[in-house]
Amino acid sequence: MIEKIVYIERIHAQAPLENILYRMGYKKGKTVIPQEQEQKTQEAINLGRMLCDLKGAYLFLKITSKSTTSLTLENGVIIESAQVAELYKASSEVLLMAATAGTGIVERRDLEMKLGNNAIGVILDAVGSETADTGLDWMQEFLSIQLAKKGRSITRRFSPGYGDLKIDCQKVIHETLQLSKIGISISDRYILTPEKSVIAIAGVV
Amino acid sequence: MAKKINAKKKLQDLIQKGIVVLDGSTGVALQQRGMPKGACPEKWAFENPKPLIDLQKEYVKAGSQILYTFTLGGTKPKLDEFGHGKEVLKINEGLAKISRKAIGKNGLVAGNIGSMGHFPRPFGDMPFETCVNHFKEQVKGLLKGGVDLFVIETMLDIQEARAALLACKEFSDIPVVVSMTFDKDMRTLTGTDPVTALITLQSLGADVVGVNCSTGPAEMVKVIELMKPYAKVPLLAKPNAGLPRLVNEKTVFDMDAKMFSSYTKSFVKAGVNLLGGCCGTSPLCIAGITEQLAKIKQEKNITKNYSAITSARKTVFIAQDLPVVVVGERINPTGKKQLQEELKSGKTEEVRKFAFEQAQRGAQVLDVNVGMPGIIEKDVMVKTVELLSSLSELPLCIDSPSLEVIEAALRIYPGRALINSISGEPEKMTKLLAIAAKYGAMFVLLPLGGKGVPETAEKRQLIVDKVFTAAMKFGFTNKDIIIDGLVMTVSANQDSAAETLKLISNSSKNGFGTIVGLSNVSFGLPERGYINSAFLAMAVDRGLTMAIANPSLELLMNVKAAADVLTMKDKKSEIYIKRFAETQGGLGSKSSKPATQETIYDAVVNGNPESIKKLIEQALKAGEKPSDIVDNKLIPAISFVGDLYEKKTYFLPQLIASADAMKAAFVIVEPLLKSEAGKKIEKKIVLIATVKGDVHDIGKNIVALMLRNYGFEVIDLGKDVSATTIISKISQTGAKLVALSALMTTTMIEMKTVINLAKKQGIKCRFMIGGAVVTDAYAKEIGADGYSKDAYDAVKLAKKLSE
Repeated sequence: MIEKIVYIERIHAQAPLENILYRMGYKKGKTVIPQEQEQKTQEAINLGRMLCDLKGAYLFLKITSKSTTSLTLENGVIIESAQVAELYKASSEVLLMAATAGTGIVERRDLEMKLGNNAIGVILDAVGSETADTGLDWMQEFLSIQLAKKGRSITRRFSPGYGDLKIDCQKVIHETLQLSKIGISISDRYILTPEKSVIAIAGVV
Repeated sequence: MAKKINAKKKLQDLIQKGIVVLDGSTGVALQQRGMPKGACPEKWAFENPKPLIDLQKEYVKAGSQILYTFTLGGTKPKLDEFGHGKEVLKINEGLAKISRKAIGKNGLVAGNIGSMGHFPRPFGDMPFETCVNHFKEQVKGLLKGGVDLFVIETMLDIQEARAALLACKEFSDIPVVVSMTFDKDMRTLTGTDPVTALITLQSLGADVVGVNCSTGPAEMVKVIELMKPYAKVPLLAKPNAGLPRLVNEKTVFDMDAKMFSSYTKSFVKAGVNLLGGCCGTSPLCIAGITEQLAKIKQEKNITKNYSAITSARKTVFIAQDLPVVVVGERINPTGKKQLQEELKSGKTEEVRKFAFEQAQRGAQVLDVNVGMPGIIEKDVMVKTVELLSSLSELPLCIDSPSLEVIEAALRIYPGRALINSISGEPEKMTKLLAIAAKYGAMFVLLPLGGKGVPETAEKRQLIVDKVFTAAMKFGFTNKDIIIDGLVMTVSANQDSAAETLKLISNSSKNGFGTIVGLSNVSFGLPERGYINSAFLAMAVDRGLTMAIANPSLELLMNVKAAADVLTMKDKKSEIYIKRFAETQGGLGSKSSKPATQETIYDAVVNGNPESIKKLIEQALKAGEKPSDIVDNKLIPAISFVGDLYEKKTYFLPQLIASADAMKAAFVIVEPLLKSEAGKKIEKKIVLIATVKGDVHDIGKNIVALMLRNYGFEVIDLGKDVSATTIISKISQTGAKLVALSALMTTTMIEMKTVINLAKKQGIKCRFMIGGAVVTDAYAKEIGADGYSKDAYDAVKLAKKLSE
C-alpha cells in the first residue's frame, strides 16, 4: 500500500486572500479597512504565507463493499457514515487526502500572541487554516486533471468531524496515509499536530 | 546523428508547410469502444489493439498528421498502479508500433509521455534523478517502437516537465515537444505562468512548446497569445472540448465539434503551429479543424529578441530600456557567522530570512553562493537551490567557482538560471559553456583570463570577444550573456571606475546586458554608500542592466530608482512613485491622519497600540484624571469598535488591534486608577480554560483579551485543563463565572464533565461555552448558562451572566 501513497513535500499554493479575509469576518462591501491597517494586514498575511510549509499526501483506495451506512475499502478500513455512503454511492474508489501548513506558522502565531501582538496572531491563524485547506484543493485539482483523461471525476470531499463522519475516522486515515512521513501526528483525542493540518475523503466516479 | 536530422527535418517540413493537425482524445473514446473503467488503459490497449487502431485511423482520416501513442500513463510508477510496472518497455514499444501502423507512411508518430503522478523535488518527494530515470525507461520503449518524436504532455509541474525533457534529450536526438497544462488563472499547478514555462523549456532544448488539457479553446487561445511574442520555437495547442461538468456521475464537455473547431481561426491568429484536441474531443472535432484550416491563411508572427531568466513561477526580463535588475547578494556566507553555522548544521532559517527580506526590499534575482570551508559545497548548493526554488519566486543566480557545483545546481533548478560566472580561462570556459548550453542558462561573462585583472576596458574587451566567440559555437547570442564590468577599488586606482564604465558602455552598444558588483568600488573609503550610489547612477547612464547589491541599503535603492527614472527605464516614473508612496505611508492617502491629530479615542478605534501609550501619558501630564480617560475615552471607543464589529464594518483583526490598544492603555492607567480610588477596585472574576484533551487556545486567548478590556479580571488556566483542576480553581478564586472552550467534537464532551462535577460538588457558579463545534443547543443540553459565537459576543454574554 505504501508505494501507492503519494507525498508532496512542497505544495506551491497560496491560500486565496478572499478566503483568509472571509475567515476573519471580512464582508465585501461592508467591512472598511483604513489604509494603515490594510497594509499591516497584508504584511501579516505575507508573513504567514512565507511561514507556511505546505505538504500533502494522498492515496486512492478501491471500495470493496458498500451499505447505506458505511463503505469498506480495499485495505479493510470501514468508513462509517450514512452521509458519506450516500454521497459516494456511485463511486468505485475513494481518495484519502491530508495536508499540513507545518509548524512554523503555528509557532510564530503563538509567539506573536505571547508578545501581545494579538491582531497579527489571529491573521497568522487564519492564514494557516486556509493554507491547509488550499493544500487539499490543490491536490484535488491536480488529480482531477489526471482523472479527466480517463473520463473520471472526483466528487465532493468530506472531512472527519463533519456531518455523521466521526472525528475518530481521522485515526484510520492518519494510519493509512502514514502521515508521520510528512510530520503529522495524532493524539488519542484525534487532534492533529501541527495544528494547521486537515484530512479529507472524496469519492471517485 | 542521421536519425536526428531526419526526424527534426520531418517535423520542420511539416510545420513549414502550414499548421500541423494533431489528434484528439483517446482514453475516453476507447472507453466508449469497450475499454472497462478501472482497467489499466495502456495494458488494455496493448492487448486489445483493434479499437485503438480503428480510432487512430479515424483521426488520420480526419486530417491528423501526427498521432500520439496511447502511452500517457506508460511510466513505471503509473503502470505500477495496476501491477504492470515490469512491462514498461514491452507496453510502450507495442503501443508505438500500433500507432505506427495506424498513421501509414505520411504522418508522424509522437511518443506520448505524461505525468507520473509523483512530483519530483523541490515540490514532491521523488528525487530528481529517479524521475529522469523513470522517463528514460519509457523513452527507451517508445524509441524501440519507432516513434518520430516525443511529446511530453499534460504537465502540471515545470520540474517534472524538465525531468522528462532531459530524459528524452539525454537518450536520443529526435525532436521533443513539451506541452504544459494551465488552469483558468493561467498558472500550472506548481505556479508557472505560460511565458515562464515557454522560456524555461525552450532554453532547455524543447523543439516545440505548448499547452493542452484543463481548459477549453477560448482560454487556451489566450495562453498562445501570451507565449507567441517570446516563442523561439513553434507553439502547440490541444484544448479540451470546453469545460467538463459532472452530469449523472459522468463527465461531459460542453462543446460539440462545430463549436470546438470554430476556434481554429483564433488559434491561427494567435500564432499556433500545431493544433489538435484533448479531453472530450473526437475525430469529428479534428475534421472540423482540418476543414477550417483550409480556409485560413497563416500569418507571419514576429518574435521579440530578449534576455530573460526564470524561476518556477516568474520571468525577469533584462534590457536597457527596463529598470536595472537588482541581484540580492545576501545569500553568501562570507562575513556572516550565523549563516555559516546554519549552512554547516543544515539549518535554513537565515537563507529563508535573506530570501524573504531581499524580495521585500526590491531584489528581482537572488544570488546564491554557499562556498565556505567545512561543508560539501555541491550538496549544500543543491539543498539551498531546492529550498529557494519552492520558497521564493525570484530567479536564482548560481554563484560558484566550481564546475561541478554549477552543473548540480542547474540540473535541479526548475527554471532558467543565471550563472555567475564564466571567465576566459580556456579549459574551464569550454566546460562551463557546454554546461550552460545543456541547461539553457544565461551567464555572467567575467572578463578575466587567468593572468590577473586586465586594467583597461580595451584589454577586458578582448577577453569578452574571446568568450563570446567560443559561446556562439554553443548557440549563445549576445542576449544570453551579461558582461561583468569588473569593478575595482577607486581608493587603490582612481582610473578604475572610468574603465569599468567604458566597458559597460561598449557592451551595451553591442547589445549585451551588463552587471556590476557595487561594493568593491568604495573599499577603503569612508561613507561608502555615497560612492556606491554615485557609481551606480553613472553606470545606469552607460546602459547598466543589472547590479549585484544589498537591497536593504536604502540610499542605493533610492538612487537606483531615481536613475531608472532619469534614463527612461522606469516608464512614466511609475515604480519610483509607487516606491515613495509606500515608504511615506501612502501618498495622497485620504484616510491617514497626521499622528499629532490622533486622539486616545482614535488610537483605540484605529487599533494603534504603538501610539496610545504616548497619548495617555500626554493626557495625564495635561491633568486628565485616569478615571476620566477610561470612562470618557477608552470605554466609549472600544464600545464603538464592538458596534462596528457587530455591523461587520470591522473584521476580527481590527477588533483585536483595538483590544491590543486598550491593553496597552490599561498597562499605564490601571495602577493609577487604584491610587485614584484610594482602594482596591473590585472586578468580576472570570475563570477561562480550554478543556482537557484540547490544545487549541487561540479562541480562548482572544476571549480572555476582550474580557479584560471590558473590566473583567480574567484567570486564564490555559489549555488541556482537567475538570478537577477547573473545579478546584473555582473554589480557590471564588469565581462566579467560568468560560470553557473546545474546538473538537471529541473534546467538547469535557465541558459536560466540568459542569457535572461542579454540580456534584455543589459549586454555585455560571458556565459559558464557546468553540468551533459548540452550539447554543449543545450549551443547553449540557446545562451551561450560555454560548457565545465569537469574542465580542462572549463579552456581552459575560456581562449578562455577571449581572
